[in-house]
Amino acid sequence: MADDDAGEALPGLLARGVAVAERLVAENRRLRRELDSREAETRDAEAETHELASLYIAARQMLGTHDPRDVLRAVVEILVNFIGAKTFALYLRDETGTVLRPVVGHGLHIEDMPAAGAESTIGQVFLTREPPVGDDIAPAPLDGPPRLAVPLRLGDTSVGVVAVWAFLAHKAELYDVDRALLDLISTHAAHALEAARLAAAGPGGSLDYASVAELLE
Amino acid sequence: MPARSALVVEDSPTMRQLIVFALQRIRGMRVDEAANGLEAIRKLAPPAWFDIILTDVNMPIMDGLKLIQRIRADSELQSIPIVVITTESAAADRERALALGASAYITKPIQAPQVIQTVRELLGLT
Repeated sequence: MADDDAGEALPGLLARGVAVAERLVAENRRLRRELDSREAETRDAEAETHELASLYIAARQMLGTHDPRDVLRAVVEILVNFIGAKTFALYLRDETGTVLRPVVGHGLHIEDMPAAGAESTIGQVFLTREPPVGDDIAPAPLDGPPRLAVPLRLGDTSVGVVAVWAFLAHKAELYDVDRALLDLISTHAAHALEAARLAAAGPGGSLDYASVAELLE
Repeated sequence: MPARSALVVEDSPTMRQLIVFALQRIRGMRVDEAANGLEAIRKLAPPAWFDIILTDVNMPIMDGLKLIQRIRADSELQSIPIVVITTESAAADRERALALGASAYITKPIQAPQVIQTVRELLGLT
């Protein structure tokens, strides 16, 4: 009699065991999906934190000084160390406001760089204040238009341009943080330079190539 | 998790701040800074101790390669993991640093998550 009961109970036990196992497998899958989702969220949060930290540090370096050399040094460091620019120059308008002259550069001989007129790509970015930021960041020949150029804005006007011809070889694309940093340079570098110029030279005059070059001597 | 400490050796204040910020995201990590190799050597003098060192290569006064040499030649310090921060184009510097005893390298432009992961791996933090 006992054997008969056991014989009847076993299939039931097995069925319950299988059901429990199936529920565990399903729960395991659900937890795995949730874990993957949390890991993706963590990666996004880390990337966002990195972006915010980069912007904060870049802004602090650019705006935390009243020495024009330090402002320019900060801009160069941001371009090199944060964005991965390899060959670039920072141009400022001359006293006529129509010609842009290179003030500082990296990966090139600044004294060999010609001034940029209104008809050039650099001049057009200066005049239109529209940065032609594309997806292609392959190196461009130094004797041609830069691969990327961003206007340096001071209020409603432009006072210069940052022109980049090449990025580090292993940099495959511009990321969101790079574009945010370029925007920061575009909107804040000239303000930082103007504040430094005013602090060094006193009120009057204007932010241009001659006034900054004089302070750098 | 026990407290850990890192020394960041980098002459660029901008770069240094970014690395320090990244390291401070590791729970319990204490971070100190030096602007060149000589300053780092002074900070490494006993009884000071750091669990890991992150260093640039090209710096004034004492560069990162000389710093690695000094640390690896010091019986008290030679076990400290060293992470070298270089540009991709400076392959020769990187190879030289690894030959001198650097534990790992990170290429500029650095990403904070990459710094955190490298340091966690070298310190056995999960």
